[in-house]
Amino acid sequence: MNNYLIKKSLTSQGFTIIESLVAITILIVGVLGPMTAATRGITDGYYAGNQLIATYLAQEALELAGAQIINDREDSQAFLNGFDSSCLTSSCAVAIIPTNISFSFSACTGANNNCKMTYNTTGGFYDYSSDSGQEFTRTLKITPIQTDKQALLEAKVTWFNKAGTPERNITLYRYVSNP
Amino acid sequence: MSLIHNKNQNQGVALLFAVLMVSIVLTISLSLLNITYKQIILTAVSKESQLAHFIAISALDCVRFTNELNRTIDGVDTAANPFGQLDVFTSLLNVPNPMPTIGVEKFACAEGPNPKVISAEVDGDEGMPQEVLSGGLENAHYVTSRYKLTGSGDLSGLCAKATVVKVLSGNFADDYVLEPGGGGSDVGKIFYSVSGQNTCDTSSSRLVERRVRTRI
Repeated sequence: MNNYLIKKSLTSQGFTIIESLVAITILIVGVLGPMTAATRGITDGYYAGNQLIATYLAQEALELAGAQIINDREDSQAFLNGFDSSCLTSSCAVAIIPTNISFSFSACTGANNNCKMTYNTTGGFYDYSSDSGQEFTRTLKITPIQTDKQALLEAKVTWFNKAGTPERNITLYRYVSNP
Repeated sequence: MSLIHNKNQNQGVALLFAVLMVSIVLTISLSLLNITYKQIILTAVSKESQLAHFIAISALDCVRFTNELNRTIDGVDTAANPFGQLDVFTSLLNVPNPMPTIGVEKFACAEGPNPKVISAEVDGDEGMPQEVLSGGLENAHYVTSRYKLTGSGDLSGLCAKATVVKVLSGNFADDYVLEPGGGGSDVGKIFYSVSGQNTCDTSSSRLVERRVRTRI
């Protein structure tokens, strides 16, 4: 009987170390995988949030450009008269002026932070101030199709999720006419 | 003997603990990933929705512009107007002449050497332009035309469907105009209803439609 127990004890020797090694391996594989997935999830969530903001910034630019065209028409101005020339030659900034609830179009220069937008915590909206936080570069480009009659508006928003990552962008187009 | 027995009882505890820990971490991580995946889907839908919205507005502008182009200097529709001919003063109401042909471009929004932005052909699935003697909300006499609009160039891959109704008499609809007094007689009014689509493939699972309507 004693011989049997001693023999069994001897065959069990080393099991704990093997068990521990297997457990450590399982833990490493089982934790590293999900941790990578979780990290990816956080990164993607950040991207999703930025994409949503960029989409609405592009929409805002097109809506404001459309409003300017209507304003020009109601003021009996020529088609696209209210836009800065840079909007037609290259691209321009679209800025909201909260003090008198209006908006303006101007070339991308240092005056408007080179078209870079950040969240204005005081105003509660994105503007061309140089606040800290996520930056979005928003530009508007107008391509006339027919003088005084038809044009194509292009609102482009670019951003980087993190320094060193590829540039992301959203572009929305709108055809406009002046019947 | 007691020590040996106790040692046997502890075997597998580390393994069990490892498996339990991995299960918990895996569950939490998969839940996080699932939430993030849904966030990405939702933001993608938001972007696709904007594409559909702006092709709808663009198509509406194109249709209105084409209607204006096909009017005489007195503001009367020409016979070739793709949306029919309406003149309230002479009680004139006709379908387009010539009628559009299925599969052939009827009108486009572009000029000269510039590439087309939007081109349109009659919507064969919905039928040819037709005159309705009595329909709409209340005995409306009107001409209705339906077109498929396809974006090209920067708008390629985007599509829209437009319905234009020109009313000679009666009440076609009240819900196009939100302000009070918008209902009632629609004599001489033009109703535009445009559905923008983020993809021209209507069977696509990522199809998003946005509709704009107006009465002028």
